[in-house]
Amino acid sequence: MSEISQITLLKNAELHHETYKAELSAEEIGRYARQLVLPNFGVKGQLAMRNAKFLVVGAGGLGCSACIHLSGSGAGKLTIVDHDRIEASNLHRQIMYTTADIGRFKAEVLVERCKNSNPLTLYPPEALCVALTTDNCLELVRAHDVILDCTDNVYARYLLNDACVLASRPLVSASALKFDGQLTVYNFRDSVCRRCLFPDPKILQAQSCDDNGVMGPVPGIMGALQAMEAIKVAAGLEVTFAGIKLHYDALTGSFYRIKLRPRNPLCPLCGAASVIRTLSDDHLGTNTCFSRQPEVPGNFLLDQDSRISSSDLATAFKSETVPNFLVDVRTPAEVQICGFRNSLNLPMDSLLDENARQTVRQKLYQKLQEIPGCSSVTVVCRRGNDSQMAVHLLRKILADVPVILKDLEGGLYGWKRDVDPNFPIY
Amino acid sequence: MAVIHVEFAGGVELLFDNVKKLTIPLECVGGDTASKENKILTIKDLLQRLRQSYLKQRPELFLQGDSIKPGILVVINDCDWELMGGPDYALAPGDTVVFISTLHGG
Repeated sequence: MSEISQITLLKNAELHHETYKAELSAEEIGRYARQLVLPNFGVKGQLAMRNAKFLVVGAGGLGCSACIHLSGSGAGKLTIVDHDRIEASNLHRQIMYTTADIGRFKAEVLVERCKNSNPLTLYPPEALCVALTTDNCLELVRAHDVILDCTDNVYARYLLNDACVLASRPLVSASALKFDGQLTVYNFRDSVCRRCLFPDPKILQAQSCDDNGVMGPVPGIMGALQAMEAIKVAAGLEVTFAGIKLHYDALTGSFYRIKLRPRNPLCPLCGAASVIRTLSDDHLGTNTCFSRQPEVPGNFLLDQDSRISSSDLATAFKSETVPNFLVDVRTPAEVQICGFRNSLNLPMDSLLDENARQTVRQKLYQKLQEIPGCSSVTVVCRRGNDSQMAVHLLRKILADVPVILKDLEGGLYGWKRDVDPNFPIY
Repeated sequence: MAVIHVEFAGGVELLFDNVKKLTIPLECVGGDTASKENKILTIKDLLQRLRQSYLKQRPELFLQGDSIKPGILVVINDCDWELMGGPDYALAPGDTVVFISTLHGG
């Protein structure tokens, strides 16, 4: 063997004993091991995750689940926006919060939990304890690569949608209500934006988890799915829910997978002749989440003479000078939680339903006859909003009956605040 | 008998007395005279049939005029109705039409 080939052999042997690793630290490799070994994700996916910036708006049930998965998977930058504070009624579904966190800002606590879960992310996660507005939204969206809509109201959802189209960012959107959840990725390549489906948010009637309830696991499931889609966007995997909407019905265990229309060329936002070029309340409506739009013509708010305060009602209960009975307009499920004994339950839905009015009228008549000399009816709801609308509707239904209709100002919340601090609220 | 399947999800079922699934004979979709005339039955006809025979509560939350209320997605055989021709889609035996409310909670 010649001298030269001996040297080459030696060098090869030396090279052979050198080690190598991907552009990840040993700690990162140890932490992300179970996703690194997946051929579809691997080192390439992990590096893409480390370079990706995620914006999560909403730190509720969806946000808790989405954020902890994103941070655990090695999201380089994670910004969490939410102006809300943690309440006891959040804890059944907002799984990153504990009883001791009640009263604290959600975004702040969630960032803390994400940091604890994974201290290796390129940047520490950041909390913004502010509301999303037309002033801050576009800048925030532009500063991130993948946007997750974990909000809970129509206004914020359209605001984010508009910003994502204007800034060309994909929007991974999920929602949850009662037993149902939905997921889709808007504005990714050819996939629709929210306005391609329903152009005008101002005419949409939305329901909230606060008013209508939600089962704990549903937002958790949907938030986890959302994180998965966001990771696929960042890692360059096929984004299966772009142009596809998933609907999950937990009660029947049904999953609907719906192929959505292509981008609408006439869409006011992303269409060829778009009219929405900036973020503006003109296109978004009012930045308030109404539980129910007034159905009665004109102003449904009652004047002060038509309302009774909690303390006055408590006094009236004691004196019993004027026979009075209560109409509770909450849902039967709510009535089972707490309320006033011997009140008549006429759910708001039945008052709003033209076909149910005859039944409502009969029930009221019957009750009035049971209480001789009764000349006054007080309408009660949870917070004193529906009760005002109900008084308007009941005045029509009882137009020919000489009875004074008032509502309990502030509803059961007001009763707790002013009369009985031990009364439960939900 | 040729039938179509109708499903309600995301809260729409509340307007139909909490019924989530219906099976409707195709000939009933167009009312009494339709089968004799051999008329093509569309989603429009289905909406009218649902309004007349099945819608129990507050029709204004399901329909706006003759069309579906914005916020409710109409799904024909797992496809957005816009891909299928919208309200003029001609119903065929065995079709599944799902009405799904858009959820905004979180």
